Amino acid sequence: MDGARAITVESVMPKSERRLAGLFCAIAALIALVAGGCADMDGFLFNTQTVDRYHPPASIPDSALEQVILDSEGNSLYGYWIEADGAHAGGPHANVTILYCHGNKHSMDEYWDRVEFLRRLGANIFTFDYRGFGLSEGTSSEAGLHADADAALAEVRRRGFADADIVLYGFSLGNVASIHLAADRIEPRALIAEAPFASSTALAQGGMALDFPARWLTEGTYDNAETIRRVRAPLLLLHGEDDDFVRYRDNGRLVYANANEPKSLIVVPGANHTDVPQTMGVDRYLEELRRWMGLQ
Amino acid sequence: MNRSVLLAIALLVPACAARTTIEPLGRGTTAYNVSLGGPMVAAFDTWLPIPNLSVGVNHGYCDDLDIGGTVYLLPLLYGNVGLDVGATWYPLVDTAGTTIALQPRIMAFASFREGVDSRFRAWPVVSASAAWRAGRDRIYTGFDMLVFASSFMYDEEAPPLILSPFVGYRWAIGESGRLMAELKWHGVNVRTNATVEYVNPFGQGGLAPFVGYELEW
Repeated sequence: MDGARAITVESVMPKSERRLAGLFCAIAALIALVAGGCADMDGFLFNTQTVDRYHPPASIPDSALEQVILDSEGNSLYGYWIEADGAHAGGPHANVTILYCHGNKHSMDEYWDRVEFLRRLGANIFTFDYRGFGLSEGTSSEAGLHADADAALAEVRRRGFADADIVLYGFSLGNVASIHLAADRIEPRALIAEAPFASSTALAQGGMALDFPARWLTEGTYDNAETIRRVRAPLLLLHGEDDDFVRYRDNGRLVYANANEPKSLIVVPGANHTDVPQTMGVDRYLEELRRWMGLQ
Repeated sequence: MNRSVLLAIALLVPACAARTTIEPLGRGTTAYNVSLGGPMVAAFDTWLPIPNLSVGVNHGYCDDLDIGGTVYLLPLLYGNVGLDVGATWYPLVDTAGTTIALQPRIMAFASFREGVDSRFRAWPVVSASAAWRAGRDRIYTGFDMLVFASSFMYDEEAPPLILSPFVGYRWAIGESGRLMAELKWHGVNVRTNATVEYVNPFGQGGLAPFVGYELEW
C-alpha cells in the first residue's frame, strides 16, 4: 500500500465500506471460534430417528414376533426375533437364522419390507437397532456399531444356534456390522453384502472427486474393503449397477475384489441403492439367497 | 442412507470463490476480498449452496502481474484448512475493452485432526479469464483447471483433471469496492453420480453460485 493512500482508514473508506470490512472481520472471527471444536462426518453417516414404538407389519403374526432388549456396553438395544415361517416353499429352515443388519435410515421400521422378503426363505430372522436408532440408547459410532453387532450375535447364539447355522446379512451401513462379525467373530454359514461402501474415504472421494485421505472427515474408517480380506465365509455381494449413492465401481466392486473365495457377485442393471430386490425381481432375489445359503 | 445429510462432504470442494483477478490491480495496490458460495446440493428437502466462506488478498506486483492468495474457512469446521496462492498475469489489458488473465496457483489443504495418516494435499490449478467493460462494471468468463498430482483414488475412472467454467458480473461499488456475482459449473468433466446429490446438468459436475466483495485498501 503506498503512503499517499494510507493516511487513515477514514479518509479513504466510505462509512458503508468500513461497515462491510467490519462484517468481514466478524465472520472470520466467528469461523475461527467455531473451529475450536472440530466436527466430523461420522454423525452424518448415522441418520438416526427415535420412535415411540415399533410398527411391525400385519403380515407377520404376533405369534411369530418377539421384541428383544439387548445390552451393549450399558446401552439397551431393541431388536426383533422373527420366527421361521414354515408356510413358504422350501421351508421350514428353523435351524437357520438370518442376522439382518439394516442401513442407516432412522430405525428398524424402515426395513420391515426386507424382513417380509427374507421371511419367505423359511428361516428365522433377527434384526435390531444400533445405538441411537429407534428406541435403542446411546450415541452412534463405528466402535458402537461393532459392539452392537457383537451383542446381536450373542443373542442369536444364546438361542442355541451354531455358527454354521447363522447367516449374516448387511445392507449399506449395516455391512460395517456384518462384515466385522464375519471377519473377527464368527465363521457364518454365509455372508450377504448388499450395497456395501468400500470405506468412508471412498464415500468422500466419490462425492468430491478428489483424493482426500482417510480420517480428514471421520473418526472411524468404516473400511469394509479391508475388513473383508479376513472373511472366510461364502460371500454373496449384491449391488445396483445404477446406485447413485454408494456407487458400485468404487465401492462394491472393490469389496468384492478383496474378498476370498468362495464368493459370488450379482450386479443388478437398473437398480439404485435401495431397490435391488425389487429391480431384480423378489422371486429371483430370494432364489439367489436360498441357493447361496444352502436352503434348497 | 440419507444423502442430504452427507452434504458435509461437499464442504471440502476446493477452488470455490468468486473471481477477483479479472483485471490488474496496478503496481503497489492491495485488495482484500471475501466470497461466499459453493455447489448446490440437495439438503433438507430443497437445494442449497454450500456456504463456503473464503477470504483473500491480491497485490499488484507490477502493472500486469498480481500475486495473491485465498484461505478457505469452512473446512476449519472439520479440522482442516484450505488455501491457494499464486500469481495472475495479464497478457492483454483493456484492449478493445477486453482483458485477459492467466492465473497459475497451488491449492493446498492440510488437516490438523488427530490420528490422520496423511496431513497434506496439494494440486496445481490454472485459471484463465476474459473480462469486458460494461460502463464501470465488468462481465467476465473463464475456467479453472485443477490437475491431479495424485495419490490413491478408490475410483479408477476418476478423471486426471477437473475443469470448471464460470461466468460472472462485477459491479463497481464506490471508489474502491467491487461486488461480484458468479456462476461456476464445478467439475463439468466429472460424472457426479455418487454420494452427494448436486445440481448437475447432464449428470456432470455441480452448479455453484457465488457472491463476493473486494475492497482496495
